[in-house]
Amino acid sequence: MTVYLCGDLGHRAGGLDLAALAGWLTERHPQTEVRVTPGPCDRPERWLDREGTRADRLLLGLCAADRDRAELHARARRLGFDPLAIEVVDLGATCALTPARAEATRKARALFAAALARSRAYRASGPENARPVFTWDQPVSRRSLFTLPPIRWEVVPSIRDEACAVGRGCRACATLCPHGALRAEGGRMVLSKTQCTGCGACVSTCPVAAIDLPGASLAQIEAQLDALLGSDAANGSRPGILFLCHRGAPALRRLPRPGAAHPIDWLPVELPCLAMVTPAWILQSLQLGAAAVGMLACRREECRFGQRETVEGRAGYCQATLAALDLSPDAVWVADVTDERGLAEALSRPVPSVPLPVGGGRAGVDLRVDHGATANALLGLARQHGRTPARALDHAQSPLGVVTLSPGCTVCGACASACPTAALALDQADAAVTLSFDGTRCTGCGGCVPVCPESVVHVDRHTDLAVLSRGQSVLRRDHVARCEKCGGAVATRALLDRFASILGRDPVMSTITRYCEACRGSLS
Amino acid sequence: MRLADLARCRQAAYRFLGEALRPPEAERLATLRLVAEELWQRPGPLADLAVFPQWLDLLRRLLQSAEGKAGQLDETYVRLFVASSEGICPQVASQYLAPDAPAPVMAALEGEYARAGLALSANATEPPDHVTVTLDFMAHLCAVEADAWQRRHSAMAVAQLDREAGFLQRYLGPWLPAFARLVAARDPDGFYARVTETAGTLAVHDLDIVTALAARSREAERR
Repeated sequence: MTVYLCGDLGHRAGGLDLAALAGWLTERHPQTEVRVTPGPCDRPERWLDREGTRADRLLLGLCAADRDRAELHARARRLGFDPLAIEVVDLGATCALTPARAEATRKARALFAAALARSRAYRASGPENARPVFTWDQPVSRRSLFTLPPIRWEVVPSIRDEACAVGRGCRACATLCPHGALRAEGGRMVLSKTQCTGCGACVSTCPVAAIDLPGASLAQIEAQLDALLGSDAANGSRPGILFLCHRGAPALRRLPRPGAAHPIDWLPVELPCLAMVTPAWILQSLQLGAAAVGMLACRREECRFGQRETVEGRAGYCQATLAALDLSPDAVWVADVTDERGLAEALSRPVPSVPLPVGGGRAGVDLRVDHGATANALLGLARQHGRTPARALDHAQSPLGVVTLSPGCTVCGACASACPTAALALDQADAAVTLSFDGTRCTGCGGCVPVCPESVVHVDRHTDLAVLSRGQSVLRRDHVARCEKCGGAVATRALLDRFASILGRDPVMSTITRYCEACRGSLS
Repeated sequence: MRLADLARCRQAAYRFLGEALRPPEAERLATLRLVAEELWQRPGPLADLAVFPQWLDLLRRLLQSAEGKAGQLDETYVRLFVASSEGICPQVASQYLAPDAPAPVMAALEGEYARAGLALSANATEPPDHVTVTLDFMAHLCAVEADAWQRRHSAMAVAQLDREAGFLQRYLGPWLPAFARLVAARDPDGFYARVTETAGTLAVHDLDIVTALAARSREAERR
């Protein structure tokens, strides 16, 4: 790993103590080579000389990382370097303008530790993760037909077929994608590179973590958040997590008195688009130590991914959830990148902190949907604040669902087979069969509803702490009738009753109820 | 960048990879090293492709290690592709696309070649679905495309792009990555793992490029 630090960071505004920062980096991370680079960092691609590419990972600490990274990536590629193995830390926005030098340096350490963690969690990308974009600077014409502008390569997600739950009927990513880039085809979920914008919304929504976006993968974000929440950036006080896209850092630098009057030390996490941020990310950040979570979003008409409504809806859900727990909903906010005044106000707003977990070590960040990321954060928050679990919330953006059954379930298990997160599970033991439900895993996708042959399954997008705190609970249990001939399972009693209600006194009933399917075939 | 130049570069890449997957005879390797040196010095539009890091790695391997010299690769080639007690990595498309019924794949490929006015020569030792033959054919398609751009015959170039897209989609894209994975599993750090990985990556990226170019060119044609 090689770290480049722009030399200008030492004397911009309060400045950073670059020698101390470099010393800390080499002491804490002995495999890291730190180079303080003189000269402006507006074209970091110039730093990538052949010597620099000997490292397999690069970390760039820049005064300003506003410029489109296409040139940096193109230069890296030309030198034989994986462009996605480059992490950029915008220190100008978040550190150099912090008034006190020692504070700024401490914050820079936290940001570097987090960037190092994110970089280490990067595995690799494949050809399926790149798509070419041609940006002609002139309209299409016969003249321009024979030439080509430089090719930009954008990152798009890829789907791990072996993990994808499309075979169980899951369509969570396809339903969410506003660009129609995902569709189920031939038993696989297929991503159209031409329609995908690389916003990453599908990555965090996938209930089984089968979608990967190299550079902003779930594992990378987990590692980064973990490092930020465990850092000493705020010198003993609680940090704030600030999710932003690449347009966010310039907005921070435009603030009239950046960092001067902030009661919280804001630590930025850059993402392709804020649509990646799910309620689990927000609530887990709060539960694991963040004093507040801010989201610096593009205006509806300016978001190149068209995701502003998703961002607001999810923030709204988190605010409502906090309110339901008698916690301050102000701990979560969304501000416009172009509204400097609103942003300054949001950053300066004092927020009563959520109490930290008492005793024991802090749990690590786990953003996987099928690991109960949202539910675990909610339950943790309720526990930390001493809230009873008898609280429920109806919200259209609830990432959680509650499954109920009306009378008539035959415990056939079709719903459990269709559940992508195993929130519904069917267990067979000896003479009993049990259908259970674990609310912490339910995403409210509704995949279980259409497959029920009796139409008795119902799903509500509903956050119910009582259901969540119960964990796995029994929805329906029934006995299994045994075959008189071989002792094997025939069917549940409820299913046989259902047959009886249809067939009445038909003589075939006596065979159906007494023998299993295999033995029925061998009866003379 | 001129589209004709891009097509010529792609042609060179496919041709190079095809040759690299043929038996490592001394004369062939010497030629490959000469071409590798030239491509290392003047990569041209290849440097703009996402496959370039792998490409550079492959060239470096050929130029800087002993592998690029005669006699070093013979044993590996035989062990991977010809005969081995552990089984080989088949170099033919049909083994990946339709292992139980290879004949239709080979017939379809021969049909593709015939539509392009080509046929396997009578003394050809490789079957029509052999990796080297398919890569050579792809190089041929790129060459025809380059000529069309050169002569500013855009309709013909677009038709050629469509043909390339179809060939990549049906015959190279679906199996080259699987072939590369198989070779990488058997010889993770070897020369042939680099060659097949580069070929598989190029096929995937090239399909994206060719599809986008065809769409753009069609739009321009309509104006």
